[in-house]
Amino acid sequence: MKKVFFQNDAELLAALMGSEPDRRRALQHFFENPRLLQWVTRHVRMQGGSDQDGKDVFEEAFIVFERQVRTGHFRGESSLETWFHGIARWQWLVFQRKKRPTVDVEQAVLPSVEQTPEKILILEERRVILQQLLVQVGERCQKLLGLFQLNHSMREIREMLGYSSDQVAANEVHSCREKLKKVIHQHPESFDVLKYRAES
Amino acid sequence: MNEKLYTLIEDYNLGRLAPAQLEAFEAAMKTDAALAAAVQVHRVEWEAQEMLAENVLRAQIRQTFVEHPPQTQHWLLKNWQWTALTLLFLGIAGVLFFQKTPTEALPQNAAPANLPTDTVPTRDTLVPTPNVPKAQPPQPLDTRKYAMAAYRVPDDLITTTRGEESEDTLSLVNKAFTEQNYRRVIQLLTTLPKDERQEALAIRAHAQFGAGLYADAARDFAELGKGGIYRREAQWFGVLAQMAAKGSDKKLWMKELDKIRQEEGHPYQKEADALWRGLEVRGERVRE
Repeated sequence: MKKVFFQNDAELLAALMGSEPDRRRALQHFFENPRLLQWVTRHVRMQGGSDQDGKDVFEEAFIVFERQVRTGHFRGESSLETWFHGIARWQWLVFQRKKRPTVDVEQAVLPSVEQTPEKILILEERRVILQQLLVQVGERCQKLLGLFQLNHSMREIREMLGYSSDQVAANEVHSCREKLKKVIHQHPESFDVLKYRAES
Repeated sequence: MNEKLYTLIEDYNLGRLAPAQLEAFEAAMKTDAALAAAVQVHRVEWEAQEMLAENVLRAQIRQTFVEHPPQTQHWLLKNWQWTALTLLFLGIAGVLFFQKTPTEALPQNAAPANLPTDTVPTRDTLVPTPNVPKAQPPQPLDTRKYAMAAYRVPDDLITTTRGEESEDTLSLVNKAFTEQNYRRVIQLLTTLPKDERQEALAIRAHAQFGAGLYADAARDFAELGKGGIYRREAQWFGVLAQMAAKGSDKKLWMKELDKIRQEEGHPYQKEADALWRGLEVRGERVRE
């Protein structure tokens, strides 16, 4: 991917709020900021975690951050790094709960969304069911739908997956979405569990 | 399902509908079971696609970690070769700088260590021993050592009324002088402040003396000696600066010294007299 340098936070923010290619370039630039990972690993180490825990938490935090930007939850009301730090802190608490369910994090200042051990368990169960369904759509469709969900254009999907034209890529996306729908309908027992909203 | 309805369902599931639209949509779901089912299917589809997006992103992150290992170290440690090289360069530059800087220390309460013990003058009496080996040819008298031995920083030179946290020039100067950072003092007083100019000039003169810049110190003391409360003090220190400076006019400073020692009530009469006698004992060459 072409390397783009943003002069300041305002430019980065503008790109994150801008067109899809700009947003992705801004995300890449943001991801490559070494301060972020340093901050997360230091935070995790100070709380008794390892460097690897820090990397894992960084990864999770970045995934959440990307989703929040993509779905318009980030409105630029705070600095990007502050926002990211908040997500990372939260992800570290989730990570600790997953790793050591008995750890006492009740004293910690938690973000507004309640994430009880029960809820974590329910979310984990949903993920397992979804994974089982997704296996049935095949690897190619998994990758294609993932790129589509990340708002990659048909041209980008064509380039990344080697299709002959944008139209072929679009047809493939349509075909994979239909396949996913079909898989969901073929497993009513899974659908019954998944059809109710579960906030993550 | 048409694309428009799909988008509407997506907007509903992602909470993007305006309140009026939301109300209408939920009312429609209550009466239209197919719509309600489509909403549920979309929700599951979306969640599944989000999971796939997450997997793609996760793979990209890990790939990036492999291709460009994250910098968790401080850049100074990461670039240790450059850091070491820079420190080495600074070290060499420091050594060269100090080699070129006059190293003669300013005596304050003690005589210079390199002064022969038999010639160490005290505050009250400057009586070097006359026991000079006759076999040796007469050595030219090093008047700088006498000047340095006679030199004392005046007690009231540094004012103590200024707050330690004050940032005005004279406060910084006082601080630097107290720390014997004479070059910093000179730097700070390159231009003398309009207010308290005499005080600043006095401090600069003493700093120059302390830094071994005796000719500059002599010039400042001469300026200070033209008038004002520092006049007589400047006479005395001006003599010492001239004695220490290379190539100064001996007759001139001897005359000045003689004048001070003979002036009744001069604050440095006693010191001047002691110095005079010390020079007289040793110094025929001084009186040339």
